[in-house]
Amino acid sequence: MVQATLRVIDAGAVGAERSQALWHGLADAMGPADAPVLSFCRPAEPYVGIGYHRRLDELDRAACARLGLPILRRQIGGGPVYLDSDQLFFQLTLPASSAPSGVLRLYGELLGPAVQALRALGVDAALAGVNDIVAGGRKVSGTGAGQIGEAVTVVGNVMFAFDHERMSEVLAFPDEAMRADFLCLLRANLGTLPDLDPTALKQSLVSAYAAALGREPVRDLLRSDELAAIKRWDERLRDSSWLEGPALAATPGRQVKVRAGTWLYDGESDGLRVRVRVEEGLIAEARVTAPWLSGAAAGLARALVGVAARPHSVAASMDRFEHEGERVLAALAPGLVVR
Amino acid sequence: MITVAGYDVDEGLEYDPDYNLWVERRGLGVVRVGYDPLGAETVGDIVAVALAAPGRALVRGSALATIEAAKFVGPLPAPVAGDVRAVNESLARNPGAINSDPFGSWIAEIDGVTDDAFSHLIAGAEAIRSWFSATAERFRLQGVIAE
Repeated sequence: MVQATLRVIDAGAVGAERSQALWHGLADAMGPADAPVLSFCRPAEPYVGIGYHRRLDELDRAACARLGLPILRRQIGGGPVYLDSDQLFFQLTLPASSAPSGVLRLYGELLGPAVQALRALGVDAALAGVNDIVAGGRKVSGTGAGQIGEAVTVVGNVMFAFDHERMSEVLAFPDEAMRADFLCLLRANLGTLPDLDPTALKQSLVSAYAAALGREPVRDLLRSDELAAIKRWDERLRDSSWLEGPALAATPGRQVKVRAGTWLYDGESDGLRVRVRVEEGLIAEARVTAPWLSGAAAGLARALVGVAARPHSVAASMDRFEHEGERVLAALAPGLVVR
Repeated sequence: MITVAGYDVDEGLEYDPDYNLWVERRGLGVVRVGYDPLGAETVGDIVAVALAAPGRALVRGSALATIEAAKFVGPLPAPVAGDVRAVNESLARNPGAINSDPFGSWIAEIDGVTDDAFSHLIAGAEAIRSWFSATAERFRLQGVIAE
């Protein structure tokens, strides 16, 4: 009996657009009876990627331009990210009809092999939250997924090194203090795997995905229809209307997520401003300011620290502050929905 | 409402079994569409919705919206062919309402729907109960929803 195959396509070092167009095009060209494809590439030049449903005003576009960083919108989720040649991109693309149903199961089954691949190389990796890959308590791989055409693709990167400062430079913040807080949080929570050999990592990923899918890995080249789809995506990614993205409502406040359970939020309601640092799902630091508050601000902030960053928990912690507590909750509530 | 497999299900609506969507007839050729409770649960915690523009022509299965949950972006397929008549703009600001109140969160209205477009939908309390119960059981066995 002929064993089903897993096509493996390694595009090597490619330009910024092609590093995104590669897997968008592979998905677009995939038919319902096609074999799954595991693809690899590394961006030869740095750029900024932004998720499909995110607004460009989350980025400091002037800084991106000054730094010569193109901005590319992807058709999967998540926030803005800084990407460069110190990262290996891997993507598993398979017909939507054969993808695990339910988003939790999808990530569990299709990121599990990536975790196994890292563990086979001695990295103490684990899946954290829904879709972060962590090692040594730090996120070492960002992931996302989406349905493109008739295919589902799960993408990830493995960071051999990461320029935390550059990442903090390309995002928009209400003030430099929040940028500094973000940089601290990023350094503490985003790790790298500098000792990994990229070739060994790719081989390990191939073995792990082939085993998980029960398929024979076969190194392959792009088909002509795949190449045509990739070129269409090259064009689309350059298109200004694509970059603008879908019409989206402005989200109140400013939320910047670092990893699952860890984010910063700055929000304002009715003249009262709240800024929080959330770590592992708990409010680790809070600051409340309003012109009419003096000593009461510190009490409100203290009451938030240690509270689970969930609406009902925050509401309970603010209950005794009555009207001011309601104002804090109104300012903070949008920041408790983690994007 | 009837309770099936622990879920409240509106037996007055029709359901697309392929996409786990409810369809409400609202006059000649006009329907409203939303996720049923199983669809709302399996899609994950929705953080963003981008809705199709009114006037857009749809065939069954074409994207009525894109939805993001847990960094997964996917299309919300139209359960019937027609033209987008209106979209629920409030979901753009509060997409999580789809998870918390699937029957209260209509996503779009479609008009120009012909009678034959309803033939694949499940309707009537007994048929809905049977289909929903089997689907919930299948999802539980697959680990897609909690036991």
